[in-house]
Formats: sequence, C-alpha cells, structure tokens
Amino acid sequence: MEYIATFFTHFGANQFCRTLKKINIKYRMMPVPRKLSSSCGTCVRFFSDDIEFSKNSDDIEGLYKIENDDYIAVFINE
Amino acid sequence: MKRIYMDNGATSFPKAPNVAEAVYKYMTENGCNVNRSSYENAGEAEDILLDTRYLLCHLFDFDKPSNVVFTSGITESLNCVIKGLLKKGDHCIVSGFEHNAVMRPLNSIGVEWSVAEISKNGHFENIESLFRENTRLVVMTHSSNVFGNVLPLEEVGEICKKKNIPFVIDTAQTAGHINVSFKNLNCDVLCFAGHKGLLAPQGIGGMIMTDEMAKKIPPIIEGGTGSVSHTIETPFFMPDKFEAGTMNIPAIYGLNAALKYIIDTKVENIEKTENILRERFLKGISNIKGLHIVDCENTKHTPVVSLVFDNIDMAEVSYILEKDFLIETRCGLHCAPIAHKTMGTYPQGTVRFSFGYFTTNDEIDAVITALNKIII
Repeated sequence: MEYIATFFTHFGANQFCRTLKKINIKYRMMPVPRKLSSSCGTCVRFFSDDIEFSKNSDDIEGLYKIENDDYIAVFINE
Repeated sequence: MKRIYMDNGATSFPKAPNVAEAVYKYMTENGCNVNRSSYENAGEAEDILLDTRYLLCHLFDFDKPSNVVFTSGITESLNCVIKGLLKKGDHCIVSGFEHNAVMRPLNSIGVEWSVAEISKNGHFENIESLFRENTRLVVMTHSSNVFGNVLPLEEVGEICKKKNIPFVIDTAQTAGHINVSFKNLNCDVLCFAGHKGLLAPQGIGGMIMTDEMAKKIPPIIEGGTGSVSHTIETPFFMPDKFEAGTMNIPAIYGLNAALKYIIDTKVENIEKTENILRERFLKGISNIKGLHIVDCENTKHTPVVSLVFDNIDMAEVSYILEKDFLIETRCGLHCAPIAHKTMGTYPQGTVRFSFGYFTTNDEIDAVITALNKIII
C-alpha cells in the first residue's frame, strides 16, 4: 500500500526518513497536499505492507493511506 | 621557509581532511536550503543536517538530537543562553578564566558576578560560599583559551545540580581536544564552536541543552523556520525555536566531515598526540633564560602554552617570530582580561602558542630554535 505521513516538525520528518532508510523502505519527500495541511510543510510518501513501525513514532502527525486518489486517515496524533 | 601555524586556539588550521571537499561538494552539487522545500536534493541536505546532530550527540555523550541547536558560533550560543536566563540584578558565578564571550554579555545586562577561585590542588574549594539568594546561573569555560588549563567542571556541575541552578559550559577550547561528556559534566547547556578543536569551517557552532532549558530560554533570533508557517508566532518546539533563518549549510557539511574524522580518529588519540607536542615544547624551552611559562599546576591541559619574556615586549616577540621565522602566534590579552588578571599577566599579556593535532615535531623544534635565537 502507498502511504503519506505528515509531521509536526521537519526534524521529525527527517528522523522518519532515517528510520525508513534503515529498514530499506523507499520513500520520497513531498509538499503536504492542501487537504492534509500540517504543522510541517513536508510529508513523506512511501510504499509498505507493514506500518507497525510507524505507530510508535512521536514525530508523525498523521498517517494516511492513498486510495483512489484520496487520503484515508490511518491514525492522527494530537 | 615554510609557514608554521601556532594559533589553533584562535581557529584551527589545517581543517580535518575532507572538510573543504564537503563544503565544495555542497556548493557545487547540491546548494539547497533545508526545512523549506521537499525535493530530493533538499532531503539530502536535511539528512546531512540531521546526521550532524547525531554525530554531535555521539561526541558530547548526549541523547537528544532535537536539542542540538546550530548557531553562527559559540559567541552567539553564549549570548543566547546568558541573555535568555539572566536579567539586571541577578547574580552569576564564573571562573577566573572566562573569555569575553561570557563576560561582555554579563556586563551589558548589568549582572552581578563572583569569580570562583581554583586552589593550588586544582579544585574549586570555596565555590559553595559564593552562591547567593539571587544566584541564577553558573557559567564557566571548560579550559582557558590563554593558559590551556582544564577546569574541574564535573564538581561544579554536581553543586549546581544540588542547588538547582543552571550550569552552562563554554567548550570552545576543549571540544575535539579532550573528551567532553554532557552527562559527566552535569551541565544544563553545553556551548560549542565548530572552527576550533572540531576542525570545521568558521561560522558554525551551537549549543545542546536539557528539555528544561529548551523551554526556559527564549530565542534571540526569530523568523522563518519552514514550520507552522500559517502563524506569526515562533514555534516552541526544538530545534526550530532557536534556528530561524537560513543556516550556514556549507559549514554544516564541513562540520559533518570534520566530526566523522574526529570520531574515527578518537578524541583520546588526539589528546595523546597533542599532549606529546606540548611536553616536547615545554621540555625544549625549559632551559631558555629570559622567558617564563605561565601555567596552572595540578590540572589537565589543552595544547596551549602562554609565555612571558623578561626583556622583550610580547608584541616584539610575536612580530619577530612571524617576520624572521614565519611562525604565527597571538600575543596580548586574547579577549580574556579576567584570565590574565587571575594569572598576573594583565595588562602586558602573553605570547600564546597553540598547537593542534596536525602540528608536527619538526614545527615544535623550529619554534624552540627560533625562541633561542630571539632571546640571544
């Protein structure tokens, strides 16, 4: 599945990229789509079958599944 | 004749291998800003930035990379912390070896300050008696930029912790020369310079701090951070709170390369090499009449030696060393008048010889020969 993760901070986005790199998940950074407006203007787009690793991240503001050109919230951290 | 650089206390030269290449590579192949845009090259620059925070955590024995803040240099770091934590009428404790990067901000705020003296045994014996009701901060250099004596800050940190007073450390002269542990020093903020012992370019330094200090200290520079751009309020989160505006990214690439070199080489090996150089120099000048080493007993040392001369003005010595022997030194007060007052060398000053990891035995011997000739 393809996902987009948004972040509270750039620092958090970069930390998350580091995690993805470590576990060999390919990713791209991209500007946050208007629909998902977020504290940090950069989000991370990646493919993965398993998203367990992302659930304990304090850096992620929201994780969204990309389906039929729409963004479906998997979880949102307040 | 080859130039002999003996002014590493002012700024290190040469820099670590790969530093210039890293800066050049960034400027010619990447060139992107960080924390603004999201394309791949910007991501690569951000990755170097984050990696540099991790390397600093490793070097300074610190756990939280988000609390590693970059500034234009250690002077900015010290200004930010001192001006953020103190106001007129507060009291602060310093060592007798502070640089003006500490003393001038204290003076301009109108802070009362007391000097903690070091006893002959190399310890701060009476520091507890200096604390007052209005003491709000203890700030100390880790090592004198003039005399090279390392201060026993671990014991100061313990007292500060007990009294719940923030302890700020200036590591301008120790980072990269000896092991510096945020945890062992019991400090709340550690300020560092990139361009001295860390062997990186000028224009980059920083500070690392506890969560409590990150909340308490206000930023002195505010502006764009690339985060929470919908609001005109400065973000409270780290490290954005203290990093408004575009950072010195070329210097951060250089610092990244320098830190990798230092970590690979191991700081204890750097310390050992520099101690050998210092001992060689001290032994070589020990029989020269008419000059004296100004030194503190019973302390560790960084590779800095200050000399005074009986019959020649310090400026003349420094001038002749450069003119006749291409030996570059710094004479005078070294931006540290209170350190010279502590050691009795104010106002005439000293001639300072500051070595580095890349100084060679031949260079040390050439300086000894030159000093012998000058004295005659």
